[in-house]
Formats: sequence, C-alpha cells, structure tokens
Amino acid sequence: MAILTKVNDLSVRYGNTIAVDKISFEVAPGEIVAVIGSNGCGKTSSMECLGGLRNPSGGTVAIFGKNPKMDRKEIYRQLGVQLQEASYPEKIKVDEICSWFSSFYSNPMDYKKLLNQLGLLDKKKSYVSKLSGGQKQRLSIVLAMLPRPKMLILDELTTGLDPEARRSIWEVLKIIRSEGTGILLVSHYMDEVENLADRIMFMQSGKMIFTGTLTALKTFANENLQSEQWKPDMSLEEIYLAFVPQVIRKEGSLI
Amino acid sequence: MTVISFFKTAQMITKLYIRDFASPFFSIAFPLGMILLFGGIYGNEPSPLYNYEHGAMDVMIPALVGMVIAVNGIMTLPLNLSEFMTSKVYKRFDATPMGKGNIIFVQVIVYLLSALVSTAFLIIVGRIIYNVNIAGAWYVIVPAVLLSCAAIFAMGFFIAAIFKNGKLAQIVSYAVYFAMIFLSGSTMPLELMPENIRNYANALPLTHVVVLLQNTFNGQPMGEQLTAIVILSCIIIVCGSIGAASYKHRKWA
Repeated sequence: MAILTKVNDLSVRYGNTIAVDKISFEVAPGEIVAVIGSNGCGKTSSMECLGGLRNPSGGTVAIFGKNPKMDRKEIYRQLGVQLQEASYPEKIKVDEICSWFSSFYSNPMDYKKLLNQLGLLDKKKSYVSKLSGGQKQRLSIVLAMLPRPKMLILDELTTGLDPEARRSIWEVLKIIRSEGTGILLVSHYMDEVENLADRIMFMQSGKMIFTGTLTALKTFANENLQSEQWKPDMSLEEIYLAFVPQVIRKEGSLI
Repeated sequence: MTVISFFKTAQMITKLYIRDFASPFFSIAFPLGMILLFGGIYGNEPSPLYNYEHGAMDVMIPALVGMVIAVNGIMTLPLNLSEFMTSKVYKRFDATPMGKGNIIFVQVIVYLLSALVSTAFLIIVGRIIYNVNIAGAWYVIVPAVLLSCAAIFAMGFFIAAIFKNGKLAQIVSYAVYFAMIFLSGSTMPLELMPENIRNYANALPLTHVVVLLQNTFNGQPMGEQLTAIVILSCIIIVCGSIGAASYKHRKWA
C-alpha cells in the first residue's frame, strides 16, 4: 500500500534556534504513529510543516506524494487536521461551523453523527465561545474528521478531556484506523500512546531519538538506560521519564 | 472555492457581521438616526448655505453614504481581519481546502455588499421622508460609489495588513475612522467648518469620497471630478499594492 506521509530530513529553524533537526519518518495506511516528547521539542513545528502551515528550513515533506505547501487544496480534500493552536470565530454556533466546514468538501461525513459520537449533539445550538475546553477539543476532532480523511494529524488530541471522553475518542480513532486511515498523533498521555500507537516516535530537542514499536522502545530502553534505571516491567511513562531527565541533564538544566 | 462553499461562507460571514452588532448599528441605525435628526432640524428646503440650489438633506445623504462606506471599509474590514488573524482563525481555515485567501475574499465581498445595501437604504429613506433630489444619473453615481468603496476598502486592508498586532490595528482603524467621519464632511457639512479645518480636511481620503459623491449625486458629470478620481485611484494603487505585498510576505495565520 502507498505510504500516506513521507518525511525526509525535515528541519525547522527559528533564527539561530534549531526547533526540528533532520527528522525522517513515514505513516502508512491503517497505522497510528504517536509522537511523544517534552514541550518545545519540535512536535508542533513538525506537524505544522506536514500540514503546509509552516515552511521547513530543510528536508522534504510529502502527503499522498504531494508537497503540502504547493498542493495544499488538493491534499486537504483528504487530510484532516486538529491543530493545537487555532480557534474559531466566537459568535458562531456548533452546528453552523460544522455545516460551514462541510461545505468545503465534496462528500463530507454527516456532522450530526460525528457530534453524536463525540457527545456534542446536545450542544449543536450553543455558541462555540460557550463550550468548555474539552468540548472545544471534541469539536476540533469533529471538524478534522469531516473530509473522511485518508490521513489525520492530531496535535494533542485529548488534552483537556475527561477520562471517559478520552476513551470514547480512542474508540473512534480505532474505527477510523480499521478503515485504512493513517493517523499521526501528538500526545503527552502515555496511556493513550500505549493504547493506540502502532509505532512511537520519541523526540527530544528537535531530534528523533527513537522510532519503532512499544516493544522495540523497551529494548531500546534496556540498551540505553543505566542498569539502576532499567526495570523489565517499565511502563511507557516510566521509560519516557527515565529518558527525559537524561536529555535535560545533558543540556545543563537545573534538573 | 466551489459555488456552494462560496455561498455558505458568505452566509456565515453575514451572520457573524450581524451578530457583531456594532457594524450593522453604525452602518444602518446610526446613519438613519442622523437623517432623522438633521432632517428634523434643517428639513430639505433649498438652503442659503447651498445658494438655494439644494436642501440640507440633498447634500447630507451622499455624505452619509461616504460614512457607511467608511464604517464597512475602515472599521469592520480591518477589525474583523485582524481579529481572525490574531485569534488564529485563519490558521484553521488554512488547514482546509478553502484556505484563508478565499475567506478574506468573501469577507471583503460581504462588507462591500453591506456598504451598498446601506447606501440603497439611505437613498430610499431620504427619498421617502425628505423627498431628497438625486439629480445625477445612475451610470455616474454607481461608478462613483464603487470607486469610493474601492479606495476606502483598500485603506482598511492596508491597516489590517500593516499592523501586526490586532489591538494596534483596532486602535489605528478607530482613530482613522473617527478622525475622518468628523472632519471629512460626512457627518457635519464642510461648509460649516472654519477655513483651517477645511484645509486639514482636504488631506483626508474620506473628504474626497464625500465631495465626489455629493457632486455626482447632485448631477455634476464625472469629468468634473478629476481631483477626487485621481486621489482615490492613487489610494487604491498605493494601499492596495502595499497591503497585497504585506499579505503575501507576512504570516497571517
């Protein structure tokens, strides 16, 4: 099957700061790839390059074999994006923004079904500005799913959601994956990553320090952590926390 | 952009415009109040101020048309553009096939239509209540109104494109708007202003809009409006090209 997303040596610079340093990865159909890493490690910059919302300083990005900056309109017919940093007009109602976004696509999903699936149907006449943080997040997911995406980019998808809502979204994502959609998921919730991800990309200070399955990450941890840190039954969160201080210590932080 | 997405976007931008309250108030209710107030005070009998050729309302209506163009072009347009920009609404639209460029295009169309509908409303109300005399031919008045809209909207786009900070864009657009509506003759006749204020008023683009509209509404041919036409055309070229260049090179989302 054709690769949906292919990234080669992607770099992003802000002045003299290197936010993303030559990362490469692929996302295949029906695969959930989770991106983990501490705040400011370059996850969102990378996702914005993938969505054509930011110019890379170096390297190449291809979605469906096309350049997201040059072929933006064509790509977004089948690409759903949930951005960490974006908002909606304040004086618009939930069903209005859903029907507005639906008009951008030739064969959109039924937004009422999506609202129902994500527990927002009773809020369809509410103004977006009156929604709670979690409800806004769920609305973002509805809008990202409207184009019946072949590829989904979800940046901090479940931040602000209660455990019940998070789990209902996981189920939705599993259904979407089973239909062949490739999903790139940025998350700070390690239980979410363990539950959903087929592969994990671990970023630190703009670099990709690991990419592979959870099992492979455990092997990687066994080989790279100091013997007193390594435990055979380590959870993903414990592995993550064991690696993060190492990297920060190297950079001369207080930790 | 498809026909469906265009009309849906126009519908939603119109709803947001109406819900904003300030824009429709200043575009329709405020000028209507001005008509009723000044009409009640001065009536529309031929006035010595205009050599008994025109009544106060014959001159006031085209001046108020200048004001509604300014409301939509200098206030509504840059305020909404900068709000969408700073709150990253455009960024979300950039992550759809629509893109921010099409959204901005529809916003301009909606605000322009609002200015034209308000213009028609003022003319109808003026005709019905004060029997306002519009001596100019429609084929002279319509291009004059469109040229005025193009110049004022180019200024509004220039403000939104140049001032990166949304709050700053807001302050500048309010300052420019209020300076222009009080000093350009759009709310108070230029003839009533002292000489030094009138000299200052000549530096304001809206003054040339008001003069162009008053003259064309009162039957003067377009050929005699060269000063206003040249000034407004220069504004379109300068503000439009700087605004477009800034749009191209600046991060709007």
